[in-house]
Amino acid sequence: MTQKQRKQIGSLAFYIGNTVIALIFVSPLIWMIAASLKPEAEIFKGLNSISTFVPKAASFANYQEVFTRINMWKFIFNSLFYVMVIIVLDLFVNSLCGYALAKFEFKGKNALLTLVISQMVFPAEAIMLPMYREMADLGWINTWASLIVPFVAKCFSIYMFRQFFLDIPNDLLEAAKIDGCGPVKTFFRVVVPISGTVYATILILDFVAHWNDFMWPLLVVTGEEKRTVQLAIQTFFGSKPINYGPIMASLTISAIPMLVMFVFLQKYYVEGIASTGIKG
Amino acid sequence: MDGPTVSVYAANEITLPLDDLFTEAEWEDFLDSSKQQNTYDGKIYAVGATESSVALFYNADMLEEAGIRIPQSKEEAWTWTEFYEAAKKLTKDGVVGTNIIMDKGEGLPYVLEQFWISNGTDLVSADGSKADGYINSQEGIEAAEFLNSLIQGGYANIDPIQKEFHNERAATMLGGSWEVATLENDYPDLNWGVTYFPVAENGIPSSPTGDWVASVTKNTQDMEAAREVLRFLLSSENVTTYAKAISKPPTRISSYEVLTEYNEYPRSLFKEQLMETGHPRPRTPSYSVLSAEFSEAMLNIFTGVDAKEALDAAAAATDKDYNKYYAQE
Amino acid sequence: MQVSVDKKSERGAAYLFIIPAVVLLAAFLLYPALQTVRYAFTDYNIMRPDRIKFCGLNNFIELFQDKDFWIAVKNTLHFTILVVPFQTVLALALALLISSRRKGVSIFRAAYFSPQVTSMVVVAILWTVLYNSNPNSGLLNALLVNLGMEPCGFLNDPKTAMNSITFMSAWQGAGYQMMIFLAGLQGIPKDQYEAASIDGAGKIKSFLYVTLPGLKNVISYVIMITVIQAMKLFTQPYVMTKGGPQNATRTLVYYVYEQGFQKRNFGYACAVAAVFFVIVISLSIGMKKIIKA
Repeated sequence: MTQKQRKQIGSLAFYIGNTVIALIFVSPLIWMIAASLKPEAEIFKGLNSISTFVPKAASFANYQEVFTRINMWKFIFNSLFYVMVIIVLDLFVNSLCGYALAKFEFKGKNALLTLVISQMVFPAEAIMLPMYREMADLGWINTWASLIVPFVAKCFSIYMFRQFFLDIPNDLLEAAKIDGCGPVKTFFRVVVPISGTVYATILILDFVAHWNDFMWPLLVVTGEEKRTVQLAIQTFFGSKPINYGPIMASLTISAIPMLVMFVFLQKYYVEGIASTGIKG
Repeated sequence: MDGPTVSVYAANEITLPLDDLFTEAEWEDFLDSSKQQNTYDGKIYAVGATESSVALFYNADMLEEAGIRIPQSKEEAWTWTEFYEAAKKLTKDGVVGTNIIMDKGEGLPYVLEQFWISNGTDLVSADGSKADGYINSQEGIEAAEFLNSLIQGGYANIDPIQKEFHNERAATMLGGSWEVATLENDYPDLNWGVTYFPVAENGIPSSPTGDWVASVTKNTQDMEAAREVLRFLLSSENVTTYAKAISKPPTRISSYEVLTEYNEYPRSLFKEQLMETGHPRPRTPSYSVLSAEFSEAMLNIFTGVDAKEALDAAAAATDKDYNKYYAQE
Repeated sequence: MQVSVDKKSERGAAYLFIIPAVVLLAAFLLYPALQTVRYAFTDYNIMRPDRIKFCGLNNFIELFQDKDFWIAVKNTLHFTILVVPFQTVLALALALLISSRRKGVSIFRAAYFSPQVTSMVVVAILWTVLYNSNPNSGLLNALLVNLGMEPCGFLNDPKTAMNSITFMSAWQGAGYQMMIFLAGLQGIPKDQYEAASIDGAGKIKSFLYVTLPGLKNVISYVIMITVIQAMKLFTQPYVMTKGGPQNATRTLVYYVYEQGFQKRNFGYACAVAAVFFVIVISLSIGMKKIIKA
């Protein structure tokens, strides 16, 4: 077998293997999209066969119903708005903290690290009620503040930034210092540009986490003004009987921003720190 | 709030009594089941515009083929034995005899409590203070074991796929009044019928009721305004309009004179059940606990736990909650 | 002279860098957490917020005698011990599978991540079909019966329910760690691989001697957060089994939720949460020591 043939077989194996596994992972998403295009009665028919993945007579009726029954555009905007604000502030605040924990020496460093790690443990369900009371005391119920501010600083993000920044070679930072950069300049001019992948990763993970968040908005949002997409979807579950058509449509609509964001961030996964730093 | 939780809010003094919202004559117009549901400790705490009921839907083709008789009047409703035999006979070729709601949530007490009532007991005492001796009484254990026999025999699925009956994978279904609209709109090819909720041998005819209601909280700043709003929303005209719009049976008797569709089968059956055999869920401040414990107990029984043991545990947990928080009053 | 100025500016910069995060964490995470601990010593019933009484260690004493609590501990540990290695290895494997430069890799990447983007509602519906205990409706059981085996109760059998949830959670969560591993893989300098192949190392050797060490920090992070997230398991049992059957899938956080929000025993729920916190912290500290060694 020639080198070329071996490579071709390798490629074939790669694509077939990945396709099979990918299909397993992506099938619920496909089912959901298919269901959103089906009339109500078709959705739960024949769940045992492949045909359930194919809408017999695809139509956008469910989507029409979603947009006419509720103010979906507004809810999409609301969710996009508050999630993006959280993310922008989150990336800024947490990367700074993670970097300090990784590369600086200061009093209380270990204490802070321990605090950060331990705070990851507290389940949202347990502290939700005191947090709610805090929002009420601050007069933040039903404001953007209650949706955004408590979630800007995140232990998972801080810890992750720290782990990644630990891996940045110190000679890179030394070189910057020799060039006359203070710590702030070093961070923004040297560290951030080579950490595209880390930022992109935390961006997408946090985006997904907040976009799908239901319990907290349920508590702090009262009324339509600031209603989020997830809350809007829940309203479809209130009716007896539950109409799954609009639910699937709105779930699909809800998935789109996440997928768009994911695709948009792809380019950060192609580059890496690579050899630029070491050789220089 | 959902009907059965009226007592929870009332007992915790979160809502205010509304007895004087309507005159006695006006109250007469409301269904007994609705008023009962909204009453705690002798006072009315909520009003609702719509009600619900559950009956036995059946696949007419399958029943005819199996030669099973269909009850023509309330007196002819299936007994538990007949229900069991029918379900057994109809379970074949990938179809199960019946579909019992298995939503692991409120649906279970909603539908299944009636089996306790029909057998002469209930889930808790009438004043809502005690579960022990009721949910786990001999009659209660019989009810649980009857339901379990359907599951163990394979005549009902412990984990039914959505719309099992609609897709002809179940021959009968204990379904809500709302299913009528679904079946008429989305499943026009299905030859279905609906009949009375099954009754225990020599038991009391009984059927589920309950729907969402409105109350006034004690934080209200303008009681007069709140009363006016409620009187308006629940006027005879508005109740009729609302009930028609969302296809649910109204709570006002006068509305049925306008909504003549309830004089015809199948809706007439639900109206009949609501007016004559409807029983709301227990009025107890520990309802949230009772409901969750009941669902859990039933699911445990369906997966093999002894009925008495499971029901005893449910009774103990419910009573513990009541005694901890409400017994002093 | 140079050194002390550097150290001082470094310290100043450090505090500057951490202040925003610290302030926010203290106000919105630490404070509510401490409140939770405070409520653990009361008989707070959320239906009556104005009647909170201090009751000392009562909740804790009750907790230690509570059979359901210990079952929840067992279930949660059971889940964690199974899911962490399984999901981590799966995620790493997926990351390796798609860290190549071949065309179309980004599609696979999106596919493996898609369970994270798919709503739990849909996941629950479909996995119920997969796991359905009736061979006429359940895909997996249909397969088992076809292969001549006994149908499995999956989510309806107390013996297999937790394992079923474990498998499903690993499938759903792998995408999350995969992204983190991907980021980590990108960070390994390419010339290390080049050097290794010059030295004659094949794929496996290069994986063991370049990739794994290069991922050390990332792996320890992933394991740590996966353990924590596993201990916090709530959504899947809440949506699919409500803690049953027969307590088989009642996890600690589910128990906290149930006690606090369903049964309104918020004081007791906080006590459980506090003990939960201690358990998980001890676990994390233990793990850190193991990883260091």
